[in-house]
Amino acid sequence: MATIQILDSDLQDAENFLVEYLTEQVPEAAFGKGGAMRDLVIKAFTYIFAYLRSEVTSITDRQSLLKITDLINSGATVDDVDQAVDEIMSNWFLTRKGGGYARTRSRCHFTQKTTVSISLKDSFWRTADYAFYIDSTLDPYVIAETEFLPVYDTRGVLIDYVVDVPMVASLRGTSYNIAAGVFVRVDSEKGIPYFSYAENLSDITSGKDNETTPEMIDRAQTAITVRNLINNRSCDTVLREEFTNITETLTIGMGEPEMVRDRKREIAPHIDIHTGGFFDTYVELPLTTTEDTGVVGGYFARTDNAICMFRDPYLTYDSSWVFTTGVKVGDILYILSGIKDAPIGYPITEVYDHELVVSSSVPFTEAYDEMEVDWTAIPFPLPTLVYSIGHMSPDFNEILPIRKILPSVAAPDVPAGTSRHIKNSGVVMLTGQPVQSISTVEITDPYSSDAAIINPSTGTILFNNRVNSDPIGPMVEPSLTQYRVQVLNPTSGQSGDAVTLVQVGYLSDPGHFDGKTLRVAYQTLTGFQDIHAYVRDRDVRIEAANHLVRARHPVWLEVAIPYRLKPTATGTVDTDSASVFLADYINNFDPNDDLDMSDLATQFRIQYPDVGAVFPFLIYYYLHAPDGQIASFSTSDIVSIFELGSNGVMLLNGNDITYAGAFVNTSGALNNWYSYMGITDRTVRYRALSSMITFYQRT
Amino acid sequence: MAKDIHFQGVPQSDVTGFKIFTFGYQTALKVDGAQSLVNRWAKTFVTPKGSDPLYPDEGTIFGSLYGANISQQADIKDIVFVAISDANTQVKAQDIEGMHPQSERLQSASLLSYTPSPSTAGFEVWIKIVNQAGVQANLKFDTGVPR
Repeated sequence: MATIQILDSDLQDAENFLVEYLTEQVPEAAFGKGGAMRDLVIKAFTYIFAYLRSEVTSITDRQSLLKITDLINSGATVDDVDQAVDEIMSNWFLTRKGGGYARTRSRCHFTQKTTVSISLKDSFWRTADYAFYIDSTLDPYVIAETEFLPVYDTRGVLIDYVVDVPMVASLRGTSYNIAAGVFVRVDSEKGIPYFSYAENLSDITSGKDNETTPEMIDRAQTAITVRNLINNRSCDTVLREEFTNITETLTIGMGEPEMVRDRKREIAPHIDIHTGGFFDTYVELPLTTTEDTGVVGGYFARTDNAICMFRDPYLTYDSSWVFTTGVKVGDILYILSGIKDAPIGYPITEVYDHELVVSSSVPFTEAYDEMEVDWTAIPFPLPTLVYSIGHMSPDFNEILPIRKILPSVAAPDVPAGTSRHIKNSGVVMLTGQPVQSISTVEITDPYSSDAAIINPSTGTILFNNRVNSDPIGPMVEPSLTQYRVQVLNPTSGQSGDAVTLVQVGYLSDPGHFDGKTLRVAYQTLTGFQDIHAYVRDRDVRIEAANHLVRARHPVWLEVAIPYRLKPTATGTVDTDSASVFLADYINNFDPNDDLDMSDLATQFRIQYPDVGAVFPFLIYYYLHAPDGQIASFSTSDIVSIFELGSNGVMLLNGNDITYAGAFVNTSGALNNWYSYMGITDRTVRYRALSSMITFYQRT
Repeated sequence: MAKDIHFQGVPQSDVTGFKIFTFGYQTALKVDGAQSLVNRWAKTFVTPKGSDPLYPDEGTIFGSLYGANISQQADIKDIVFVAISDANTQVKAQDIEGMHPQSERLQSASLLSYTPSPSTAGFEVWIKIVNQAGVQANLKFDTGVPR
């Protein structure tokens, strides 16, 4: 409770007020100074009145953010201001943010190079009071042998092996923002094999305290908007209120160049219109490492839940007729009965021997393979799925006459009818969430016949090279192995709806690894799926709109910085620390700003005063595009995904990128590709690993 | 004319402690005119200076004589003179601020007589109060019998 202070001026004000008021109310009474009435009626109540008046003023002051702000700015002491602001904010259902965990990538040193598992319960004590844990959802956290880097001394003698490990503070707050240095102790129940020590090469700065009152008041300015997910401000307010890990948001809606999810291409050829009703919110969250394991070539439910696959295994497996025999893209799959809304026709967008695909924007209304079907019913399963294929309205049956789905003898495990499940040889599907970078793609139970590419130390096949086209293989040695990432719905890339496929099957032998177990470890955003589920919650979502929360598309930077020391330099540059420093700088760079070469050079010189000159250099960077392809760039100026001719940007691998059946090797084609996917510099995020930043000293 | 509440001196035989004024009536009496001025002047005169924390300059040193040990009778008269002058200044200031009618405004207040009483270690003071209407009233302060 606030303390009420009564000053002499308050008493005099109270006395004056009482005199004026009572003189007005009781004009026949004399309240002048020196009289008895003055003592009895005025002075006797002056203290009480002044107290009540001060309390009223105090309460009034604490009911207005404007007054509290004015009082704070004027230097006045306001009791319990935090409590007062909390109470006012609660009127808008806003609560004070609880701060954030400090996160860092710590360098762990090992005496031997071997695959190591670290329990998430293992604590790394940076000081005697502050502990950090492995920042991962995987328990144990596995460091593959290939991730270890050897460290040599100046004579070329091997010192040890190092690996950078993501760590998170045990509690929230800035007290975990600790200067670079060595961890003092590690507590591990089972021990960490060959571990020698861990260190932080740069200062930890990401811990945040509870939100301060001025910060909260500042945030309140966006909170007075409607508290639904309907515009940029409200999305920012609601999401950051619900999920305190979110540091920044950007909502893209109708009419903006990045909004392409509302573009309908299915209405008719050459018609491409924006229908509205969609909006995307890009969120910034800390990264975390996770992994998926799947059977190569198995069935996976599309993560966007689009029911757009159609199969008739009795037709295509038990007879000699397959869909490619007569069906073409653009024909109509006409479903007469068996699912909701039938009869209804669907334009076919892809044709395979055993599968037809319709647009995920206009999917089937029900998944027949998930319905309770009585396959023993005679003569046809119940409910019966009846369909035909053609292109002539109204019957659409001249290509495939009306037929009914039947159980297959030759392929009893193939889902029949409409389905959300997809299956591709050589492919696994990842969980629906952003994939910012892939660290490990590994067949854990390889065929012995693949001995040439089995890693001798792990006994697994590690796929080391990400490519934009079907992988080539088999290779002659492990280091040459390839994998490919494809996103089937690029306009929903880096979201919970993204259908992300990792392909290891070869171009010439797609099913080579089918049936084997593929493990994929990758970086995603911490707690992203909760946010995805929140915006889709029936009680939260906008009824007339499709809201998708997304991560910005990562742009990974790689740079080698040439520098010269000052003649007066008293030491050398610790390039390991400098790499970590610049990686942190890039990773924390405002996504709404333009990063350029001079930013990095300037930061380097500021941080290391012994550096006399930083020579011009190129920044190489890699856009992980929403469709899974990687575009490589270099720049001598601004980091941008656009080639303008004046910004120093150059696309390096245009002949490795394809869009609409052509190479993306011109600026125009690049723009068309971006336009199709809906990305601009606003929706990309610069990221860097310290290992991708190197330095070399010129003398 | 605005009215104050009348009070009067407690008869000497009824004085207990330092209670020397009383309302003394079943119901409050209104007062105005010269009597109101006398009341106001008397209250100012006997109020010990510093007794009101908000207005520490109000009152006179005369009020402090009640209950005090008086060792030099000769000083008392000087104290009474100073206190009358002080009370006059304050009451005239009250007159201006309160916009009192002529009958309630002080023309002058002066010592009419000062009679020490060595046998009782006290004194008796008569003060003449004249309002601006020319009405005079005499006011007596008697230290009574010491106990």
